[in-house]
Amino acid sequence: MAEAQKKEHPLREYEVIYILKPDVTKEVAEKVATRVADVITRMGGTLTRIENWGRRMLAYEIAHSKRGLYVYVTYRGDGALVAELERNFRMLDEVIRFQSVKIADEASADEVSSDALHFEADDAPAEEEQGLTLEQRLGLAASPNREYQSQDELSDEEEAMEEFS
Amino acid sequence: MKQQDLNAEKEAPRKVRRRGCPFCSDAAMTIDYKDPGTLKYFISERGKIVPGRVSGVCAKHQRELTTAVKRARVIAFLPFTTNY
Repeated sequence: MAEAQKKEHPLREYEVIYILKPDVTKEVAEKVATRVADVITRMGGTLTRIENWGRRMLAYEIAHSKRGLYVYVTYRGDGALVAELERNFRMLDEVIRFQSVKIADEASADEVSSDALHFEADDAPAEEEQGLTLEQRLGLAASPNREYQSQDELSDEEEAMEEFS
Repeated sequence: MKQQDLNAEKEAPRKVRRRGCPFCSDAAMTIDYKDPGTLKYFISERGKIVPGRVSGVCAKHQRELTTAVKRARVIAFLPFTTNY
């Protein structure tokens, strides 16, 4: 019975935003993104979009941090996948906050464009990205963004705020 | 006559122009918790949600707005309060 119910779980569209500690290294950010992708595929879901929103000011301190590295992910999956993903976020000490939101009850049959499946860094290293696997691109694309921000942190945050206003 | 005067007096100060719901009149304006730039117009300086009767947002959109502001608070796009 439970097994039958499990199979009948409809696929829905979800999005999750997670915030990493601002001082995470590129490897750690890469590791977390890979793990998210792994969990989604392992539980029979589809990763549809993953974006690095960069380091932004937090409206209030979380875990003694005033800023955080935002990552935005959308995927298709069932409720069990959401629970499993959130369980994984809780286990990761680098993730200081996450929030899942259901965006559609029925998963759209749209094709997933491959563009959406890597971090959108401001100065994306186009030549390095070609020929890499999804997981590698997830992590690699995060690094230039981080370096760029540490050099020019304030102006980048202003840009980020403008993007949202 | 007297009754009429009373009514006129009562209604005089209520000549506040009522603006329409910004989300109903402008299709380009959407409510999204990931967009703190729009949401910040509907919260007070202390971070409280402005009531619909003040901001002119219709009931339907005020409900959506409330959810959006609460979600934005959780991911630290908006403050819960400015006094901490």
